[in-house]
Formats: sequence, C-alpha cells, structure tokens
Amino acid sequence: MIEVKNVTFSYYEESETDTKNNEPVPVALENVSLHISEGEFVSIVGRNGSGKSTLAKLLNGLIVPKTGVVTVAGMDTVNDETIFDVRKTVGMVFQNPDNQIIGTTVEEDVAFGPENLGVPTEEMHKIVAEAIETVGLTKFSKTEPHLLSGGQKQRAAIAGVIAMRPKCIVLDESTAMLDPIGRREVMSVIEKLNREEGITVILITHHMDEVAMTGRSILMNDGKISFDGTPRELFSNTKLVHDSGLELPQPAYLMELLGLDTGIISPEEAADKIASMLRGGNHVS
Amino acid sequence: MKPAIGQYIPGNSFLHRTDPRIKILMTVIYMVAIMFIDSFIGYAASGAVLVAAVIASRLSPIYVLKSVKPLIFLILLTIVLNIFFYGGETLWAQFWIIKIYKEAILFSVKMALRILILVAGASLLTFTTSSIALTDGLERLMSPLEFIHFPAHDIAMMMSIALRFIPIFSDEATRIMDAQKSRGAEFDTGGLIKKVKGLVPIIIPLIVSAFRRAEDLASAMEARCYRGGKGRTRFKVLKFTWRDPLAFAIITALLVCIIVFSL
Ligand SMILES: Nc1ncnc2c1ncn2[C@@H]1O[C@H](COP(=O)(O)OP(=O)(O)OP(=O)(O)O)[C@@H](O)[C@H]1O
Ligand SMILES: [Mg+2]
Repeated sequence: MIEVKNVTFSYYEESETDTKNNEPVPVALENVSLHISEGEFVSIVGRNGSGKSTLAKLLNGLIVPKTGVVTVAGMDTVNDETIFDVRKTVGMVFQNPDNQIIGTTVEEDVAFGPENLGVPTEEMHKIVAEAIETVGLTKFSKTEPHLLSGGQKQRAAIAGVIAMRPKCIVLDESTAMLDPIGRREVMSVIEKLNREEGITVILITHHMDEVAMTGRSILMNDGKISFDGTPRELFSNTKLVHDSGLELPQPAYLMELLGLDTGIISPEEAADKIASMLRGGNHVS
Repeated sequence: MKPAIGQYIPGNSFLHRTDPRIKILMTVIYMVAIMFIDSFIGYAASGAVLVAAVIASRLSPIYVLKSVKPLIFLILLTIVLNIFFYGGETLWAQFWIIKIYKEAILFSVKMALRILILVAGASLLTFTTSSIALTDGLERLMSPLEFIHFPAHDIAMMMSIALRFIPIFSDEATRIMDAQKSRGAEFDTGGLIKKVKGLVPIIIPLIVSAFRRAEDLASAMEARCYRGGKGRTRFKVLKFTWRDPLAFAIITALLVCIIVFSL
C-alpha cells in the first residue's frame, strides 16, 4: 500500500553548504526503501535524529524526496493533483497534542478534515459522531480541547484523522508526552483500529513496550533502516538494540540479565519461560 | 480559572440563541448610533436599551459592570484631560490658572458615558456569543466581500486559531514565570521599569515557543488537507429563526427613534 523506493532526503539545498566549507550536505534519510502492506501494524524506532519523523512526513507528502519515489496506493506523493487523496489515505497524528488541535471544541476539531474535503454537512455530522465514538470521547464532544487530559487530546486528534476515513494512520511519537494512563488509552484505541477496522498503523515510538504490541518493527540509524523484522527478532538481537541507543522492554531486559533468550514480547511469556526452567530443575545462576 | 475579558458565558436565553450574524450587526449599529447621539436623553435611552438587552440575556448585571471596570482609569483620564483642555465659554470655576468651563464638563461626561455604553454593549456580545459562533458569524458577514478578493475565510480562521491558543499561551506564560521564579527572578517587586524588564525573560521564550507551535500547527493543518476556504463545507450551519428578524427589527427601530429625538 505504501512503497518507498530508494529515497534520499535532506533539509538543505545542495548549494547551501557546499560552497561554504566543502562539507557534504547533511542528509536526514539516505537511500531508504520500504514496503508497507494494508492492515499491517508497524513500529518505527531509533534514537533522536535518526530520521523517523522525516520518514513519516514523506509518507503523506508533507515533504517530498530529493531522489527516489514514495507512492501511496499507487499515487506518487510529488503529484500535486493527487496530494489531497494521499493525505486523506495516510492520516497523521503528531507528538504535541496542543499543536495539532485546530477546532474550538472536540467535534469542531474532528470536523476539520471532513470540512476541508468538502463532505456535505449532514453526512459530516454522522461521520464526526462516529469518529468521536470510536475513540470513546462522546461525552466530550462539545468540550473545549484545553480542558481535556493529554490522553483525551491525543484521542481527539486520532478521531480527527479517522473522520477522514484513512487507510493508514501514522503516529509520530504521539504517546511521548502522555502519562502511563494516557498512553494506555491511546494504544488501546489504535490497536482496536488496526484489529477491527483493518487500518494500517505506523507507530513511531521510544517506548519498547509499545513496540512489543506491533507485528513488525523497523529500526532507523543515521537516516538508514538497520533492521526490519518482528519485534521478537529485534529483541533477541541485544547487541543491535544497545548499539542503536535503545533499551529492551522490561521483560526482555530481565531475560537478558538472567542470560536467557530475549526474544519475548510479554511479561507472561517471560514468566512462563522462567517457570518452566525452574520446574525442569535447570537452576539459573 | 478567572474569566478573560469578554469571555463567553454559556446560557440559553433569547440573546444567547439569537444568530451571531444578527448580534454582530446589532452591536455595530448600536455602536454607530452611540457615536451620533449627543444628548443626555439619548444616552439615557440607549442605556435603557442596554439594560433591556442585559435582561434579555438573563446574565447577572455584575458581569457587565465588571467588564467596564478596567476602563475606569481611562475614563477618569479622559474626563480630567477634557476638563483642562477642552475650553468653552461659560466659566464655572477657576483655581489659579486652571479654568473649568461648563461646556468642558458636559463634553467629558458625555464622552465617559459613550465609552461606558460602547464597552458594555460590546461585552454583552462576547458574553452571549461563543468564540466559534462569533468567528463563524463574522466570516458569513464578510463573505460577500470575497468577490473583491477580501480574505474573509482566512481572517475568520486566524481569529478562531488565535482564540484557541489564548488559554494555551496563558498556561505557558504561567509555567515560564514559575520556572524563572524558581531561579530567583522577581516579578512583582520593584518599580515599573524593573517590572517591564522582568517580563523580557518571559516573553522571549513565549515567542520562541509560539513559532514552534505555529510550525507544528501548519503541518497538522496540511496533513488534514487544509487548502484555504475553497471547496470547504461547514460542520456548523447558521440558520435564522424567528428570533433573529425580531431582535433586529426592535433594536433598529429603537435606535432610529433615539437618534432622531436626540439630534
Ligand atoms: N526542519 C528541519 N531543518 C533542518 N534539519 C532538520 C529538520 N528536521 C529534522 N532535521 C534533521 O534531520 C535529521 C532527522 O531528523 P528527524 O526529525 O527525522 O529525527 P527523528 O528520528 O524524528 O528524531 P526524534 O526522535 O528526536 O523525533 C536530524 O539530523 C535533524 O537534525
Ligand atoms: Mg521525530
């Protein structure tokens, strides 16, 4: 559904830095290729400045590649004629909840996308109410955004995206500013969207326990993809995880300390493995 | 939270339910009328219209009184300046070189009344109209001007975004102030100059953050297919009800009478 082919991107023009001190232009992404199919739940991890947000913005044409192509459902993102279809297909939720809510009440904000798409008013009311219900904010429809909690604000932002009926949602560190409860609220909403509505979800995060909830994990390092596989495979490669400035999720970390296989994704799994070892009489030193 | 100036006070009164376009128009006509009125009878009559409107809004008159409170200094200043400099013919009193004329007193009292009625009328509009309705109404009223390329939609969008960010910035200002205070900054001591200087370390970070927020917001709007007012449909549709022509007719008739009688 999303196809990224040999994409290189830089925030600077070739001419800007070249002339001054012959240093190469800093590139945010270098020769990145990636295919994401419909219905996938993908996490993207990597240290600060590794190019995750840059990649995200390329996926809905907020920025376009210097070289290479990004296509969404067959539409090239450099094509101005289909750019709004691209953005409608790939919705985006950002990090700071305060800086992405445009409307003066929750329902007004959720309606912002459909308004821009020219959806007729009557239909819009239905779509907006549905979207708000999906994220569980019906009680807060007429509430002003600044009166909501962080988790509620991000859920409102998600409702604003799903009101545009996207096939894919990109969340760029959307849980980073939330407390554990807010994070859980948001994660359960996006998990539900992926499972029940079959929406493709691309989740950029620094929280490894969120990575464990996804089906596929992509690791970015210095503008390049250095790993693409299941979270289980990622966690079993402890060297790669540590070298990329990441930490294992806590259950996997425990397994690492115990000198066991770190390819687990839930505390229950860790508990089972440890218990069966103990039962088997294999003493762990 | 303390209510900001002219903040919306939710309600369900006649005035609350009147179409924002009508309310804006009425307020404008009212303000223009006040500018024309030049007699105490006229002021009394327009004051009575205001009182009637407050009653129709079912708001406590205290709100309206509070809204003019910050103006008392300005009004006193106008009165004093006018008394000293307006001049006139009928001398009422003289202290040393200061001469006080009857005309000057009358003029400054009228001026004060004008300011009071204007502000009270305008705040009644914002008390009974939510910011959404207000910007929506303004956009509709200005939309005929789009034929001459007047950016009605953009102005309304700017206003509603500005209104939405006021609470965010005021929270942020408080946070920055606390942060500076914890580093030993003092804001409420010292003279005026010191106080103003003390504001700099608050305003600079606030402006920096405003630009960052603006950039984020622009991306968020673009990501949600914003492309200006073209081809945009509306979630909220304004509809006239029987209240609207009625309110409009009554106020206009009243004001015409007042102007005619007081000229
Ligand atoms: N607007 C910009 N102008 C110039 N350089 C930028 C801009 N945005 C990002 N960069 C640079 O591009 C590189 C990749 O940044 P990007 O924001 O994609 O990283 P990230 O993985 O999202 O990091 P984080 O985890 O901090 O969000 C970094 O070296 C960064 O300094
Ligand atoms: Mg980022």
